[in-house]
Amino acid sequence: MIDVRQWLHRLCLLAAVILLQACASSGVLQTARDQFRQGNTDAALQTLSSADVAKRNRLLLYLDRGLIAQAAGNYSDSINALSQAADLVEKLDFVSFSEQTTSLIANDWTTSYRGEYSERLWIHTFQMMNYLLINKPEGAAVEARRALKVFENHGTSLKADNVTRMLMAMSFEAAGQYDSAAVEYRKLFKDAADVPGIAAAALRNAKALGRADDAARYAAAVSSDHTGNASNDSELIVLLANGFIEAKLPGNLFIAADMRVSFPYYPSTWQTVPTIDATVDGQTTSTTTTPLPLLNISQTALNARGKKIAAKQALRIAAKYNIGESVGDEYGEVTGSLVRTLLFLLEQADTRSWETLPAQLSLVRIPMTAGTHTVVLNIRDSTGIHSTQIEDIRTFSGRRSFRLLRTGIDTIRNDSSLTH
Amino acid sequence: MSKPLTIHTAHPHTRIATQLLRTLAISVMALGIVSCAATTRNIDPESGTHYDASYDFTDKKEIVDALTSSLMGSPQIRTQPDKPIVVIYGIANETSEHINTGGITDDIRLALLKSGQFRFINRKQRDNLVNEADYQYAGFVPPEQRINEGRQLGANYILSGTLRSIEKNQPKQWRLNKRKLVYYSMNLEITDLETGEISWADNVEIARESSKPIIGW
Repeated sequence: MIDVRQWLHRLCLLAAVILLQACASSGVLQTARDQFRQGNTDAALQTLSSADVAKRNRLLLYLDRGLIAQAAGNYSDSINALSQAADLVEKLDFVSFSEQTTSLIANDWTTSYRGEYSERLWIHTFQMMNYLLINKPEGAAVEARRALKVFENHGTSLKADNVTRMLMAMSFEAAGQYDSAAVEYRKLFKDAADVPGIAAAALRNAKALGRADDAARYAAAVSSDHTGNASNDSELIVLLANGFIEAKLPGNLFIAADMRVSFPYYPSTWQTVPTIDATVDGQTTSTTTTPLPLLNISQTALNARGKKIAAKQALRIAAKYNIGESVGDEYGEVTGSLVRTLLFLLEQADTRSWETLPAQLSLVRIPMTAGTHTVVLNIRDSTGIHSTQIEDIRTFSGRRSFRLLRTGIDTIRNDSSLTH
Repeated sequence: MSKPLTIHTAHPHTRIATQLLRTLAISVMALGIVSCAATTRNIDPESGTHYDASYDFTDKKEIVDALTSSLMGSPQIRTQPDKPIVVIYGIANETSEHINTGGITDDIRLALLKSGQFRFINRKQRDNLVNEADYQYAGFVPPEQRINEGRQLGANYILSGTLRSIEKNQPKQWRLNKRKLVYYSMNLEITDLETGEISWADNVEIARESSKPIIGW
């Protein structure tokens, strides 16, 4: 028979190990995230490259590394890291008996982080951006098809992500797969015809395919879309990422004095859509901004997982209650109370998330004629007012050029890109 | 006076339990050592080894073998008085995997070159050819050693193709395994540069099912 003290000792040890492990591994990630926020991307990447992150937090390591490398302009590193993240999501797509058992008496921090549905989608969104930025449109189209699979499985909670859907269509177009792009534009137009930029982009595609019926339908919507411009033959697409997404917070629901349910939630904050004024070669040019408030999509995706979280919480409450009661019956009420207190302390909401994501991702379309141009952008977003000049943008007839800007880290990052 | 030696005899059940535990521990250790040992072995490229449903080297081999034998047996190509001169324009990857289709065209070119029935233009080296010719004519190379410009071969055929895939996952239901069906279709075609006519076309189809458990350790 196991001695009571021995029993308690083991439980305390388990609690300490779980709490310490959670703190230790997330500490390294937090350091890198702070360095990134301060604009020190090199230091952040260095921290992550030497980080000894627990296996269950490996996905967060890849996600953060992918996004920081992208912001630093290291697109091939970003592709590698996000590709590792996508592979890991695939590998973790099963129920681990050992992890679920531990999490039933402790908390979800003991399980491998699998990413919210929205985060799984955005792996492909940022991969599409990477491939478009390094002029590998075929790679972007592959990522677009992978994103399609995520939409097939979790479309209800993700379909408001108009930027990813626009990027998918644009990736197909860049790879010369206009038919696939037409399908995406048709779905987008059906779901969000009034969102700025969608009708105009769909019209451009319909014209390229010579589909008069579709073109007439889209053109009717473009006339009310004042900032849309479907007639210009080439475009600069600025992908503007600004600020940082809110981190998940722990919420608590007390069932009894020594029993609670702890759950993660995203706080609601005021979202502002950035405004962008552009001049092309000194001439003021109209722009169309399609916004993506990542927090809203994250909240919807987390809510979609709500039933699963609630079912698991119910099982955990039952397991913890039974452990507390059994110990109390066997070793006395004092010991039972002690055990219940320990289990109460172990109840922690799993607030892990991809914290290097921007608060907003906007797809800005700037029409221009074919040639070489200099563009000045004045951006007003939640992180302040920014001005940046992009020189030597080469655009070709009927094609797009892509640029990435990240604001809200100490310095504005204006990076590369090539023409498609 | 010395203390008498006391021998504690364990209860027979305890002894059995201890022995069982010891055996179990040794088995687990042995299993751990065997499973942890790194191994390397050569695999026959002809063998159809697949770890999952995704595209792999045996698929590439199957595609290349089928298409090259079809192309070499094509009467349109075989009846040409001269060896056809072909330029490769690559294979578009329209799958949801990052497949380097350059590997397929390289192997097809190699097989066709070895057959002796085709000639190929090295399109990838065009810029380097121009650079090298410019260098030779820049005064660094004696005139008698310079290449003759305007002597490059003109292609009379374009070789191009598309690799596509369709994936289907088993619908969500009570089950122990997740099944996935993947269908690959590789189309290859030869286009006559002068007439624009597709002189030859063929395709290879591969369909595969894989499954993985929903619950694991």
